[in-house]
Amino acid sequence: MRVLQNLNFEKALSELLPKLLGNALEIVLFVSISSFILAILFGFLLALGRLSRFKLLNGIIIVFQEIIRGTPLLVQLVYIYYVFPLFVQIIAYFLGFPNYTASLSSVAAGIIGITINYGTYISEVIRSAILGIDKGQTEAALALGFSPRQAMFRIVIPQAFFNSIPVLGNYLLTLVKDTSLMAYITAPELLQTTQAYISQSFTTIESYTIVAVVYLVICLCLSFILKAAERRLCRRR
Amino acid sequence: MALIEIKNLKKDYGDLHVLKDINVSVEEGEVLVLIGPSGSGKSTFLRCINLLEQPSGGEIIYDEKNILSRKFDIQHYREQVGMCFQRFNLFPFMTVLGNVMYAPVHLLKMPKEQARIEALELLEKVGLRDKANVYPDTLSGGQQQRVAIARSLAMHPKAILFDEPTSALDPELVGEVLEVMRQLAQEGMTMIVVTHEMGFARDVANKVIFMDGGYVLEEGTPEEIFSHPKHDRTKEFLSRVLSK
Repeated sequence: MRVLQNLNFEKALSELLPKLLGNALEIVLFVSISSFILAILFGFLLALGRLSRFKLLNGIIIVFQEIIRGTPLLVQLVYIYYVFPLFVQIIAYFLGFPNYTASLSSVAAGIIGITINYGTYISEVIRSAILGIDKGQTEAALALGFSPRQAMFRIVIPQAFFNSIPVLGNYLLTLVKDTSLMAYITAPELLQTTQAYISQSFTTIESYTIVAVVYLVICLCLSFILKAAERRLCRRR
Repeated sequence: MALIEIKNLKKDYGDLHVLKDINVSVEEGEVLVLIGPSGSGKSTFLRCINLLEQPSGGEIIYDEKNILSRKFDIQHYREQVGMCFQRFNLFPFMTVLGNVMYAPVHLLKMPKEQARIEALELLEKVGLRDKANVYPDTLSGGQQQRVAIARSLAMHPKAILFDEPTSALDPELVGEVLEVMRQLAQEGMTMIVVTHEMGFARDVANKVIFMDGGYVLEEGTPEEIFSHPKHDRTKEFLSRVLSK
C-alpha cells in the first residue's frame, strides 16, 4: 500500500515534535493551569450562591448552570470567540463609539470558556461536598461560639474541599484534553499546530499519532502527580 | 440566683409538640441530670438551651438576660455555655491539640503559646496528654469524647451541656468518660447532662429531672427520684432501665 510505504515518522518527529513541545505545549499548560484555578474559584462562588438563602440568586444560578450544561463546550468557545466581541461592538455603537472594534485573543477566549464550563460542573462537586459534611461539625463550631459564617468557612469548607480533591483531579485531566477544542478558535495549541503541519507535509498518520502520544504522556504524568498528591494528603489526615 | 432559668419553654415542629411548658432552673455549680425514655424531648430541651434549636416559646434567662430576645449576643453566650455531643464532633482535619486550642485562639484571641500550654494542661486533666499530636480518627470513642470535653473546657465555660455523652461508646469505654465528668462535677462545674447512665445520675447529680412526652413529670434529688418516685411513669421507666 502506498500510504504505508510513504510513512516517514522520522521526518514528522523531527519537524513536528519541536513545535508541539515548544509554543503549543506552553499554551496547553498555561490555559489548563489558569482555567483550572479560575474554574475552582468560579465554581466555589456558584456553590456558595446555590447554598445561600437568596431565592433569586439561587434561581439565576440554576438557569445559568442549565444553559452551560445544556450546550457543548465547543459551541461555547466559538460563541465567546466570534459572537461575544460583536455584542461588545454593538453595545459600543449605541454608547456612541461607532468605530470601536472588539476582539478577543483565542487563548483568552479559551480560558474564559473553559473556566465557565468547568466552573459550572465543579460548583456541583463543591456544593455536594459541602452538603456532605456532617451537621455535627457545624454544631460543634457553633456551640464553641463561632458564627454560622465562621463555622462554614473555617470548619465545613476546608473539609469539603479536601474531600473533593479526587473528583477535582479527574476534572483537571478532562480539562487538559478539552483544551484541544481551542484548535477550532485558531489557538495554536497541540492539535491546531499538528493540523497546520499536516496541511504542508501530508504526514497524516504520523502527525496525528504523535499528537495523540503527546496528550497521553501529559495525562499520564498528571495522573501520576495527582495520585501522589492524594496519597500525601491522605497520610496527613 | 439561678445561673440558667428556663420558663414555659415550648418547642414545636409544625404540629408536633416536642416540648410543652418546661420550667427548670440550674444553680451555679449544680449538676442537673435529665432522664427519660427516648423521644421524651430531653435532647431537644438541651439543644434549646444553647439555641442549636430555636425554641417556639417561653424564656431562657441566663445571667439575668433573656437569651431569646432579639439583641442578645448568642455567640458570646455560647462561649460561656459549652456543649459535648453524643458523636463527639471533633474536627477531623486538626490534631487533638489543634482541636482543643482552636476556639480560644480564634474566639478569645488568646496568644497561641498560652493556648497551647492551657490545652496541654486540659489534655493532661482528661488523661490524653500523650495523644496531643495525633488526629482524632486514631482515637477510641472514649478518648475522642474526653478530647471533646477538653475542647469545651478550653473556652473557660460557666456551664457545660452534655448530650448523651456515653451513648455512642462501647460499654468498656463509658467509665473513663464518666470519670472525667465526675471530676468536673467535684470541681464545681455547672453541668446539664442528658444520659442513660443511672449510676452516674444517682451519684453525681444534685438534681434529677424525669421527662416524658415533652413535659417534666418529676423533679427532685437523686434520692427522691430513684428511691421514692412519685409518678407512675417514673416508676415504670426506672424499673425498666434499672432491671437491665
